[in-house]
Amino acid sequence: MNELKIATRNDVTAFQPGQEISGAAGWKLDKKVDWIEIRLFWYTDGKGTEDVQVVDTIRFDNPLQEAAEPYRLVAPDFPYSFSGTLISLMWAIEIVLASGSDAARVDLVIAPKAEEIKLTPHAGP
Amino acid sequence: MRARDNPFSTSRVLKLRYRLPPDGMESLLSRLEQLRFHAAIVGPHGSGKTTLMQDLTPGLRARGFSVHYHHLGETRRRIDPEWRSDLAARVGPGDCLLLDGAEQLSSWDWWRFRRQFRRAGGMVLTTHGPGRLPTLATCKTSPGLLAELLRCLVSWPEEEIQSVAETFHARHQGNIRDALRALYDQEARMGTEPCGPRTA
Repeated sequence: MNELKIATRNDVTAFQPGQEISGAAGWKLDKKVDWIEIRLFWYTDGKGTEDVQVVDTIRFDNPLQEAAEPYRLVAPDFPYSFSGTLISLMWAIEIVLASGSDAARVDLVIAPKAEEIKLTPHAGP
Repeated sequence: MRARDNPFSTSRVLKLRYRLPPDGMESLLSRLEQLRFHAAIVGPHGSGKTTLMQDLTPGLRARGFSVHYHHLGETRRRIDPEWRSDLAARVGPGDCLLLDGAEQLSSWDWWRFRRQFRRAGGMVLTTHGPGRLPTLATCKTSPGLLAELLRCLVSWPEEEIQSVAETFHARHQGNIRDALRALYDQEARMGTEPCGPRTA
């Protein structure tokens, strides 16, 4: 069975836009694959259709079957992590195999003050 | 309650798969093979037709098919012309088309579709009524089924699960999708308002 791991430096998972996101990813594979990618992406969850957008990737072509690699990315300026009652937008970083069969990920918060924005119902003027 | 914490959020609901007996998928695929891979999954709104169709995909791929999925619904009643022309030009015995929402097609459009894709090795539809292709499966729901799904999503007391399942199944005329959406709204409200009984 393939083993995939990804972690952020010092296990920090909340960032402000523009801040560096760094850490390491490691893998131990049953057989060789064409490539492995680290992806920084956001996705939504809630009542409606899910949405997902990959905003940055680091690709390792013809990787060794067992290795660990550092990574360094920058937290994008937008969109911010937020949650309301109907929709949440979340960021994550994942390591994924070319086959798409295996992945591991860490959820992140990217927003001013490195805190998820909470949308609350507004009673009106 | 934050949307991502709602037990009825889309990501959690989509993880629920069609309920079949242990050897149900294999016998369904065998039956589909007997029907020369041309068949329909029939049932009313929110009865699991789309889920069952999606769950057939790995079995079809294991039988060597390239699977092509297309969804029609109330906001998209016609087949995407680009999808149609691209696929029609190269479709063959190794292709299986999954057409979700075939009831949206008029008789004329259905005839055209069948003719255009007559070389396809497989064609599976979901539709509200029988007739367009031989029926592979008829999807039905029950309060018991909704209760089974609720047990996968929440850890409420059994009595409450039974009661909610009865109430919401009846209120939404057996439409499980609508029932789960209504439960989403109810959970969202309960996170911001004083708690009341879920079946109120």
